[in-house]
Amino acid sequence: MMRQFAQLVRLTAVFMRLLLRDHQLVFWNFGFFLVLLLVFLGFLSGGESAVRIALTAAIVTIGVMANGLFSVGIGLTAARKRGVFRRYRLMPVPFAEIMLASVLARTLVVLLAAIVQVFAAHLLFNVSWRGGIAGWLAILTMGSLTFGAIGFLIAAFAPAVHVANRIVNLVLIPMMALSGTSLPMTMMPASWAKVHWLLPAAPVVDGLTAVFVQGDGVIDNLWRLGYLGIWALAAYAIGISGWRRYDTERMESE
Amino acid sequence: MMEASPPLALDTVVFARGLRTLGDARPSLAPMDLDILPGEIFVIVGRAGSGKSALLESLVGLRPVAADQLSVCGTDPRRFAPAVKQRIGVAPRGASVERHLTVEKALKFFGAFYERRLETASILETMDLLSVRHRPVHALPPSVAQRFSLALALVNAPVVLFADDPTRDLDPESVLRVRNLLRMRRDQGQTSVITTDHLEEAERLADRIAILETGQLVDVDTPARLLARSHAPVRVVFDLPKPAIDPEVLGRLDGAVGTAVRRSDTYAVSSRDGFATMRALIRLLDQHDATPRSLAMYQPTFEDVFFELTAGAQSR
Repeated sequence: MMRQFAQLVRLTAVFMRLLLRDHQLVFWNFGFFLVLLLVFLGFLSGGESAVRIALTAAIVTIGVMANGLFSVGIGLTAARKRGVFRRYRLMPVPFAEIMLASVLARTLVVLLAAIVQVFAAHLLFNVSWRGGIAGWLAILTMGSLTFGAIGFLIAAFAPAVHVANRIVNLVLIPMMALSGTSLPMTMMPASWAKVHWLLPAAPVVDGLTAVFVQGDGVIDNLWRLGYLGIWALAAYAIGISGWRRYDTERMESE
Repeated sequence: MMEASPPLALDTVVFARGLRTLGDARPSLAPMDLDILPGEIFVIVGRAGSGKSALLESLVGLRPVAADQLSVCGTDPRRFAPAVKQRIGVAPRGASVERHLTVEKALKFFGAFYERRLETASILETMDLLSVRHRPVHALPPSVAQRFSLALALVNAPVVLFADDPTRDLDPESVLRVRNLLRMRRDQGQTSVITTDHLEEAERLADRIAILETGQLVDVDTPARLLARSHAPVRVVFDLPKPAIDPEVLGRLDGAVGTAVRRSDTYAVSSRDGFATMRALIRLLDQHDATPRSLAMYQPTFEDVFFELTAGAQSR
């Protein structure tokens, strides 16, 4: 058991190193959202602390969403279509372990990028958190796991990269608009504002705002973390069944 | 369906009974028995779409397959068996590696999974990859990518190598390199199982050949035995500028079968008894007071045998 865990950690570390060598992936995960932070917090916030906090929470949430869906969803679909998993299937390591390490590495890169964004907002624009680091770290970890899981689910069923791309955009754009991430809830109908939290992006942006503004900690956000956990578990469970189907039914067509 | 095979050793590296496609996967494999012996070069030959790759992938666990009994290196490849995967090397079609891995780093990365592994430098040299060692794998041209795929299959010094069409896309020098590699492995007692649709390659390399046609295993034997079993006719070929001889007359010579073929000054007579036809032909030429520029008798080639055997399978 310990040996398997050590092997999983080693594999995850190797995959993370490989991912961080991908210039495109590094730009979209880290560079693009840092530029967004610089532009919005530096030039468009009017120097108001409350606006900067709201923008930070929104940009970081969009980053977690977009990076989770694209890095995991499109990344895994592209790897599958290129035949990378065919190669891994031949290795003397359980395939599930390799897949887990691959998904974990991609999720950790998403989390790392979000942490860098929060610290960048803190260091460059004095965005502070009244709650502890653990509060926003827990929200970002669960957010990354959840959107990584949704990406995993998309990759399990998308027959091609361009299809995965369309599905990701179909999920991402409405989620950005309706979850309170890019448009304030005050602009939404009151009835929608009451149920918007059902979308998994809402607990992330609301949770971050609660930690930054109200000083909420992990305990205060437990229901949000739990709700994200349910999304993650459901997406992984359905995704695994999809990948198993791929194992036995679609291999020959790849 | 098959003629009697030679006695088989009990310690086969591949032992399959009733191996067949699972469900309605395509191309489908009809139930077949297969034994591959230690230290041989076993070549699976067939037309495109005959099921060569499907058979090879079934043996290494890349494709779901049904079988009454199936073992590779003593273990069923349908179950995850790290011990088997440690001992085999596979160069399948359509398998790739993570983007941004260079040739050398990919060999080291995949080599790290194995308990026993060859020096990366020696694999690079064996497969003539030293000059591209720092290039990303995804940017390799097809011929180099093919050599890289074989190199990856060799990282663990496999007891059994499974390679799907290993000389495809290769230049003549690389083809020679791969052939020498397979022969060297045989000399060291290691088994190689390859697929090809090049009949000449199969005949040259194989200790035993499995002929596959539309998913059916038509025959398995040594190239020499397959040739000996052939009913394909011998060809008597001669070159005669003058006088012209009627091909129908040639078709009535002793042992001749069918009508002879004439192309320009060259005549070809198919025969069930080459020597009888040759004697009759010489008598005929004497009668015409004609001296041919050349006269030769050709035994059936492996190509003839292949088409003869697979024609039978197609008609079934």
